[in-house]
Amino acid sequence: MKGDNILDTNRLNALMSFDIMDTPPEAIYDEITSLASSICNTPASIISLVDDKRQFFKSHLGVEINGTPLKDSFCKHLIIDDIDTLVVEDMHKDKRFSNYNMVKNDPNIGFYAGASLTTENGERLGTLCVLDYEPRQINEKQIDSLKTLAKQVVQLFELRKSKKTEEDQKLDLERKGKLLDNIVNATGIGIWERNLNEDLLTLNDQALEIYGINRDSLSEFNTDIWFDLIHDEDLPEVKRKMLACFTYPSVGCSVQYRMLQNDGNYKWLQEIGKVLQWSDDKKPQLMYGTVQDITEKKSYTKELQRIKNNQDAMINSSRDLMWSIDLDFNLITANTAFHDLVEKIQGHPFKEGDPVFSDAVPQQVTDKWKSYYQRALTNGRFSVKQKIQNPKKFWTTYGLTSFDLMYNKEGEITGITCFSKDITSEVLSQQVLISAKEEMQKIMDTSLDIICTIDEEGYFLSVNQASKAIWGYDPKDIIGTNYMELVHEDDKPSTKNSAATATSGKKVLNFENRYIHRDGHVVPMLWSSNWDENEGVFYCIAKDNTEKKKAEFQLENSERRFKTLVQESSDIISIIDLEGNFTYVSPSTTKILGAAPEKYIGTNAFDYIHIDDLERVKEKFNSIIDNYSIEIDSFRFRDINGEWKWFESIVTNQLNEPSISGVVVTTRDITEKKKAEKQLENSERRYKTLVQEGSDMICIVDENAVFSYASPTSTKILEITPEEFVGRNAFDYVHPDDHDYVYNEFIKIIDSSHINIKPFRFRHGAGHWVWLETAITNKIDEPTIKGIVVNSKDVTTKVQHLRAIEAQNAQLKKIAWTQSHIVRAPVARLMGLVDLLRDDKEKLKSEEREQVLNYIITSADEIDHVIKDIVENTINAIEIEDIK
Amino acid sequence: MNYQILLIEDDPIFTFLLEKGIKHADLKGETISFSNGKPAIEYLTNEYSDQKNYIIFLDLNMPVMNGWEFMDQLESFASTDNCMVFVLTSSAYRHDIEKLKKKALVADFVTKPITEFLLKGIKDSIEDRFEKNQII
Repeated sequence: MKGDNILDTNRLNALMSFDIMDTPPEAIYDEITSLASSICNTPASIISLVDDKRQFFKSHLGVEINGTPLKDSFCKHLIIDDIDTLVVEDMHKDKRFSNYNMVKNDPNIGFYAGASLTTENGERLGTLCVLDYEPRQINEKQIDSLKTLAKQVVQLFELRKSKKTEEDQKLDLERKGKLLDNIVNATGIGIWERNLNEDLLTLNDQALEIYGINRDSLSEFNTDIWFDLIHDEDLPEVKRKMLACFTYPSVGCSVQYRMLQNDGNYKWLQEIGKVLQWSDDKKPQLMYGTVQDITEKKSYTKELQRIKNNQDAMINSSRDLMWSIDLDFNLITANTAFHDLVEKIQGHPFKEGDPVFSDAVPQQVTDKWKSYYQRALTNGRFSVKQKIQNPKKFWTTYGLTSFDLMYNKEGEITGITCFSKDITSEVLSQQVLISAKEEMQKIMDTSLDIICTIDEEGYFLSVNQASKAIWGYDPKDIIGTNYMELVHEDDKPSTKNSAATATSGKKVLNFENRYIHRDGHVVPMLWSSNWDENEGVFYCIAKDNTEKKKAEFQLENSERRFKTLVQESSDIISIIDLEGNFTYVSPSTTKILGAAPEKYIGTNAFDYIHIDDLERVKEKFNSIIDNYSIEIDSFRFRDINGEWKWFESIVTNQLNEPSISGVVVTTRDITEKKKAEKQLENSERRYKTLVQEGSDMICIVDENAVFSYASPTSTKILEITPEEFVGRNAFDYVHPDDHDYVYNEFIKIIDSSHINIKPFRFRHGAGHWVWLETAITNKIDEPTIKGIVVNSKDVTTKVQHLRAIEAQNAQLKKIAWTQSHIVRAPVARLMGLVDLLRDDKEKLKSEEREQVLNYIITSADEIDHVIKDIVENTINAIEIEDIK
Repeated sequence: MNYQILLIEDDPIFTFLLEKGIKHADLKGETISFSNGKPAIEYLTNEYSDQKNYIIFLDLNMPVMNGWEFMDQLESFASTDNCMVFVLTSSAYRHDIEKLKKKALVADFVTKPITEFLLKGIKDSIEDRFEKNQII
């Protein structure tokens, strides 16, 4: 399509690539238009370039304007029609152009001849054209010239374009070069260029610095000098690499080496180089490369490597197992011991990245390990002890495996580290120790003798169970106490000496001393002890020596026992005849009855017996004729002071025994027992009276007056059951008006043992008030009570009576007062007045006498009134019942 | 030495009898009567003098100011050197007078009616006190 040629993107791109639109006029193009116009003999000539909207005149001879819109363009027709030339002899007569502005109106173009500006690629950019105002003709030669000129224009465009590109490229290269320099400077990388033909090195500033040489001495820095500075160990490698690089077609080389510096130290350098130019015979001409100071990195890496090697060595030489796995339970890494073990189990080790579960072990083992790993993932670090039994080899091993989590830098869990330690030897030695200890303990526990250890200071460190049997103390009571505390006072010095002997290194055998049993009796002991210098401990065995001691003292004992029996016992042994006359009385009478035995010899036993008991005792005694032995229950026997002693007797018939020929009476003084019985009975009765039948109520309260106990009498007295009281506070029942008084009294009990509280009002179960008189006793420290005992008595009647009496008293006082002040007054007056008259002796005047008489009458009247009042008061005397 | 006899008694008949008795007993001094403790104490507050001896007959039960109140006030200025108080009681009802017993100013208790015999005794004790004191 014709229109498309104008808008063809290839054409437009070609046009744009010349970058000529809207550029200022240039002499070279104006010369061409001038030439064209003179050849064709026309007044005007134009180089017109057509884009998609307009035409631009790069040169316009004889035309003022430098361009027109597309619609006014003649030249576009060459593009539209895709033709190389166009000649229009009369524009007015050509219907394509006759309506054009520039044809119809000024400047009334009459003639047009144009040659297409076509690029090498065939794109039409516009035209070189000639114009005239008059229609005219043009010859073939002229047209060819025009075409040649048009070609020239395009060539000029091309030339211009390539020049422009060159300039741009140059600018771009400069820019890029600068950028590269900056980058190179920033990276600290040195750049070198080696001219191999001339053995010349070119370096940038960085490279100079890295090599440590001056720019001035650079010209002398040839390859040999360079080699001289390279460390001996690295030189062969550098040479080898260099040679490899110089062999066509090398791709470049990289080498690390040490280079001697001015200060005598070596610098680690890394060079990367490449041959840039090769000669035709494949010889390197120019080499280009970078150099970097890697001393720091090198030494750091070296240190890291060293540490890592050490660690690896350590980890791998350990017999403990170490491995780590990722979250999918695949092996990350493991030490040699782990690999060895796995290999032993399944024939080959796990590869890194493989799952750490082996088919060679039972499923439950795999499950167990899986559960351990899971536990570590959920709960974090933990350790587990395992007993591993190998039935084939009959050995058992113990392992302690610790699991911990691995994290990456972001703190995410990345895996589990596992460490398994063989603790078999520890466990076994521990077991041996425990069983040895147990065995030892067993020996000690079953030993009848005391086995103990005592430290240098004499404190028991250990002791076996025998201590309980022999000394009465449990081992735990003894351990920590000093053995001297148990030694009999008299044996302490000798015991100390014995201990000193032992510490000096001699074994002590069969040392005897006495210990005091917990219950106070003396226990003879036989000791063997040994002092351990290293541990600072006595090892002792002690035997209960009682039996031996007993045998030793048997004779003495039996003698003493007899003596004790007869002389010191509380029994009286007497021999009487069948009438009751004493023939022998033991010395114990002195102690018991206050009189020597002689006092009783010849007297009759029945004379001393209480009249109330006599009948019974006699009757019982007489039965001795038919019995060998009888017992006489308690009876009273008079002592020397006339006091009654309670006795009970055993009577044995020894009438047929020639040496005795009497009745032996063994009498025991049971007075104390009897008293105690009586007391008990009394107190029981008292208690019973008080608690159960008495009018007293006994309660126990705590410091806060809360009841913990109330006697059954509470029900009778207050119609409140003991159960109701327990847990309640006593003050809940106290009358508000009495509360403060009672409270103040009650709190005194904390500091004293006994307090009496005067009657106060207490709420009866039925709601009314009763008066209680109370005594409280502090028994907080008494273990069986642990409280305050409250003993209360209903004194309501008493209080009422008291009140009545008080009221009565008040009434009486009133009467008495009346008597003294009201009755006595007029009486006294009368008496005085009468006296006055009687003792008058004519001293009174008659009017005075009259007055005295009037006074007498007044007083008499007064008395009359008073008596009437008294009678009335007495009638209103208090009725006790009213007070309630 | 001047004597002043003060009768403090609300009952006019007793006053009458007392005046008669004093006259008969021939007690020395100027007799002044008061119907209760108040005028008496006012009088003494104004007129009290070391140079006079005061014999005071005091009834206990009186309106306005009774005998006890009077004694409390009297004690604050009167001295035993020149004052004697005889307390008149109408009965042997001693309870009222217990607390007066301890007071130094109180010389004795006299039960009504006051007979000539009693006044003689009073006269003796007055002389005992004051007249002998002077000799010493």
